[in-house]
Amino acid sequence: MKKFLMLMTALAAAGWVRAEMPPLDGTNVVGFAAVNAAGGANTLITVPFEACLNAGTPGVLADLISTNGLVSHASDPGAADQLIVLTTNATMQIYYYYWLKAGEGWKGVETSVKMPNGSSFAVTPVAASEFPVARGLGFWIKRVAGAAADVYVKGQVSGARQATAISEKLNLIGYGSVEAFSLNNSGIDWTGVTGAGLKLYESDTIMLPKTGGGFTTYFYYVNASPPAPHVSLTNKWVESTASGLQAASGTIAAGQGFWFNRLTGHGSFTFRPNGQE
Amino acid sequence: MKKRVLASFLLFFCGVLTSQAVVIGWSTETAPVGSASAILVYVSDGSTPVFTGGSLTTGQQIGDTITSGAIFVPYIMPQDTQDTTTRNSGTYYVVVFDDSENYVVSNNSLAFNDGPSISTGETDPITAYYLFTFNQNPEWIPVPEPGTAMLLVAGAAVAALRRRKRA
Repeated sequence: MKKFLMLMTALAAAGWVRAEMPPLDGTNVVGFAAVNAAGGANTLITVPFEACLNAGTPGVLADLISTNGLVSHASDPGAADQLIVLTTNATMQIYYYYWLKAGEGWKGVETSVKMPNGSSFAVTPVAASEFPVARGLGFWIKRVAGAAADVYVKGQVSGARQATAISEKLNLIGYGSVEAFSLNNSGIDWTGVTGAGLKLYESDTIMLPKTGGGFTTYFYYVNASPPAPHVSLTNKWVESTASGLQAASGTIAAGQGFWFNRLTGHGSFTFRPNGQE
Repeated sequence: MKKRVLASFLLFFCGVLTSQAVVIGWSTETAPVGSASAILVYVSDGSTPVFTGGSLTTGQQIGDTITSGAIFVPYIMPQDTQDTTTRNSGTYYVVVFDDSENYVVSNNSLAFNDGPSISTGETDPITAYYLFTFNQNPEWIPVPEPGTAMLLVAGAAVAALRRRKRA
């Protein structure tokens, strides 16, 4: 009988404690998305999520790429999957290389950059746990031959509008969408992108990696008294082929990144694909 | 002997497979009046492209022929032209044709190793399109037809024979 009373008392106390605990904020939703990245190839990916529980501080590279399904190695960077991120030193754009070390995670690889005048300098990446990344930024993943096709990106699903800073020259970015999208038909707000009429070589460009290597280049076309057939292409991304111009078609998978080339002289702007504030 | 031939074939074949393709980004804002089509031409020895007998005898066409749909004088829309052969020297020119089989060669050329306009890496794209320049109203050069070329060759042979007989 005593035991029964004690048990009931304990249960009641536990229920009271539970009732007094404040509920956790349930608005945080963790996202986990698969991105196709074939073995033996370089794939440009982006993360459509924010870093989890970052308390207002920027997310870091190490947090956004799940190591699930990736190939690691104990000692040989060449035998492991690698991440390649674009950054700048004091004077130029450079790459940081990271490899997946078994049991330790992403480790930097010291590389050498050869300059046109024959000189070279070493590039030592900051730790992956210190390299800031945000939703909408892109980077390369270099898979070892024979690796499984999918990699996973993770983070907090954000309801906020994407705001990605675009500066002059090359930018590695993406559209932080969790669904496939198209350049021209998904309602993306391209405010700030610069076109130059038929001087397409003076327009901002987006370059999408092609399967098997190389890129498909899309130029932003803006009406500047164009020939009649091109009126329909105004404010669209177009591909220039040997037979003429055509609007960019097809969809880009969620998590796929791309190059954005902001020509020198066009200045910087903030890419807000979900609308301006 | 057979083994040696087979090995040579395999080496050649593997060499072809592993040769590094490059993509040349180019355009023009000075295409001549009357431009109807264009081609990118690679010349290995620094000379300019020449047509004889209806075809290129100095230089090699790279990629597809650019048709009138991509030409809005004075602009030729930007092209990403792939060269599947690895080059260690030489230059690229653009040759423009009119509707009457006449041609004109660009005033300038692009070196085989021009950084911003030639993409060689798997991760690095073209960052600037090379602009070939032309005179707006150039002196068009007729592309010699094969028949014309044959007549020239035959004429030269006859002249040589006559010279021999006289001697």
